[in-house]
Amino acid sequence: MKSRFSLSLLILILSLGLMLAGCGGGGGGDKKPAAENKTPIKIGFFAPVTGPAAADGDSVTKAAKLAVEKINKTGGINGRQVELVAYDDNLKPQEAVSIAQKLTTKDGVVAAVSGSYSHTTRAAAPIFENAKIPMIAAYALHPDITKGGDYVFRQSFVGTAQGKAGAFVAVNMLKAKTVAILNVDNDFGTTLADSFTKYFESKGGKVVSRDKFTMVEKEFNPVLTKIKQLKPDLIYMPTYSGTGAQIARQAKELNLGIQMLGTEGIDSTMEFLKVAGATADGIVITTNLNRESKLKATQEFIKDYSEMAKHAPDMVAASTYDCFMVLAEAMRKNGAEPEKIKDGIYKIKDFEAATGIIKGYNKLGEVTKNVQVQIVKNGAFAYYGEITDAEIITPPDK
Amino acid sequence: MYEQVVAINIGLAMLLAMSLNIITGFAGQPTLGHAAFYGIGAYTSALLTAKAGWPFLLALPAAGLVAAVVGVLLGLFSVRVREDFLAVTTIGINFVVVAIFQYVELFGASLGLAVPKPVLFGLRFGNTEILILLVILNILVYLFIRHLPTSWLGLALGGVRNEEDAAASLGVNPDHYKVFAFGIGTFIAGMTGSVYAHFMGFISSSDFAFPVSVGVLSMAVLGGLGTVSGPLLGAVILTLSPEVFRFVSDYRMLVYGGLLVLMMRFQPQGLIGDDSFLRRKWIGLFSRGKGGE
Repeated sequence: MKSRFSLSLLILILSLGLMLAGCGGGGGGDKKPAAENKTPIKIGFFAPVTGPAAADGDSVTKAAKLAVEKINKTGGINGRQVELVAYDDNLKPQEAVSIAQKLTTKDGVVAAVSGSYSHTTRAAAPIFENAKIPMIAAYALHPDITKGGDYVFRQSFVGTAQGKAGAFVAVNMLKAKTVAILNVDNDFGTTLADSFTKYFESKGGKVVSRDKFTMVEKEFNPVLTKIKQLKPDLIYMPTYSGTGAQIARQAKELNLGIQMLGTEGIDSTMEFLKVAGATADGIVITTNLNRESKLKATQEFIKDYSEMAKHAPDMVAASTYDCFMVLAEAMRKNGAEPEKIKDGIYKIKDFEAATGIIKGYNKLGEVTKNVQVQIVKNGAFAYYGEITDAEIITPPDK
Repeated sequence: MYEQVVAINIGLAMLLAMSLNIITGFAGQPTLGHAAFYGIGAYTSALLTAKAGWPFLLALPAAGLVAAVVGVLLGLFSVRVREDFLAVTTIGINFVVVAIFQYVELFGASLGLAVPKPVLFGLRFGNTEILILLVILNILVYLFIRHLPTSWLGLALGGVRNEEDAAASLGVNPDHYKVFAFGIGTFIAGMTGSVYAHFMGFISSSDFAFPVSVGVLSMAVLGGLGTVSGPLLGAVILTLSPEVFRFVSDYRMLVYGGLLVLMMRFQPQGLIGDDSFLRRKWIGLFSRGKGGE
């Protein structure tokens, strides 16, 4: 009896001690690299390398490494090298929070890029904001991410803008009058489906059905059969690659014969095009990577990425790559301290990036650039159109 | 500060593991849905402070109470379902609760909920204040649990766990004690959820999904179910290991999973459970006391 309690007590003291060490400790963390010109500039990065989004995590990690390599090869930041500090967040908000703390207080990064999804990025954003370290979210769509303050930016279209762009494509390019919506049930699918519906209906279109499913759903035959009977002109499916590929395959098996419109969620080479195969042909998507762009930045990125990864790049990779290019541009022009980087990003105008010309960032930190419309042809994404309409591509500023 | 965040994560995990230990360790009721109560506490506290304007100090116990009410209901179920069936039922409850958070507009649905930082007498809580609060909660819960094995309540719970019929024949009503254990365990989990919500500043349904329940159970099992401080040890190890192993990045989950498998193969009774390696060493060191119960 006696010994048992002593052991228990020892463990309590040890564990509380560990917690209390947190209260007092931490003074020893290294300080941000100041103006000494030789030290490398550290940029933080986190992505879901393990867990349910591992495919995207892998894509963006490759893109981040490629970007840093590219920056260093082209002279670094006014002679200083860039160093990548990358972590895996396992798609868990709690881990994203500790990573954000680690990056801002321990690793001494001057800026960070989130290569992760919405809820992890949303949880980490306030920490960067409070630490006054700029962070760019590569492709997380949650509208609240940029709302915390000046230091958080977004490199992809906020959900509401992309939904509207989808409806614009439906009305003006695909001439659809009726649509059935199939969306993945999370913030991504919901935001897109809602803003799509709003714009589509305002242009006189009609949404005949809306069905939601979870990220791991495999069976779409019942809902597709229902949609077949409703005979809509178009199916709008804001979802990710895994489910998107299943929908494409099962629609083919049912001989649905209805045009499908996807989003950047299925802009994935390995997970969507490879899995869906020939059944993906003819599917149109709204995204931000135009494979046939004449821009040098785009073509170089596609070439370098394909060489490195041995497969064609997707939208998450391109967006992540651009985050680093934007940071590099801001640092080269405005200086490599966090506050100057932030100001530098706001000053960016008409910057040539892999995802097209970045027209600039509004006061929330939302990017303005053209929305790309791509179509699947012979197992690859090809040019279908480009939305330049200011009403569609201008992100909300509150 | 990074150390503070890690310490907060450990503090939250310790509370969860201890609360699960009351239900599964001391009362012997297997539950695989503990994250549901963690989530109920988090959402209750988030709604009360963000939408109803309650002060954090009131929302904290309220979160515990709401979780406990649901916990007692589950306890009433557990009177009818036993062992494996109970475990499966609790898994179901975890999924139902997450689905409610995910679909109901009031809970922010798929967009999640933003949670304000707590303010106490004009002091806005930062990580330091949250950490102090967690240390206090941990000490209180620990004192309760430490007292448990020698108290009438603890002995009765042990009786229910080991041999229900025998306990009943001695005048212990197993049903009452099971429900009571569920009430206390889920109350603590609910309060922990409240602290979590205010620490994170943002919650979404997936924070309380089934894998979180499994994680909490692993902590309690790793340290030793039914021991006073085993779950604390498990919580510390399992929360620290992903941080410590961050440098192996790609193999992190492999190392973590591998450790659990080895542990269950060679120390199934937990790190400080009866007749475990650590306990034998400890007893050997002082060579007094009998070990065991």
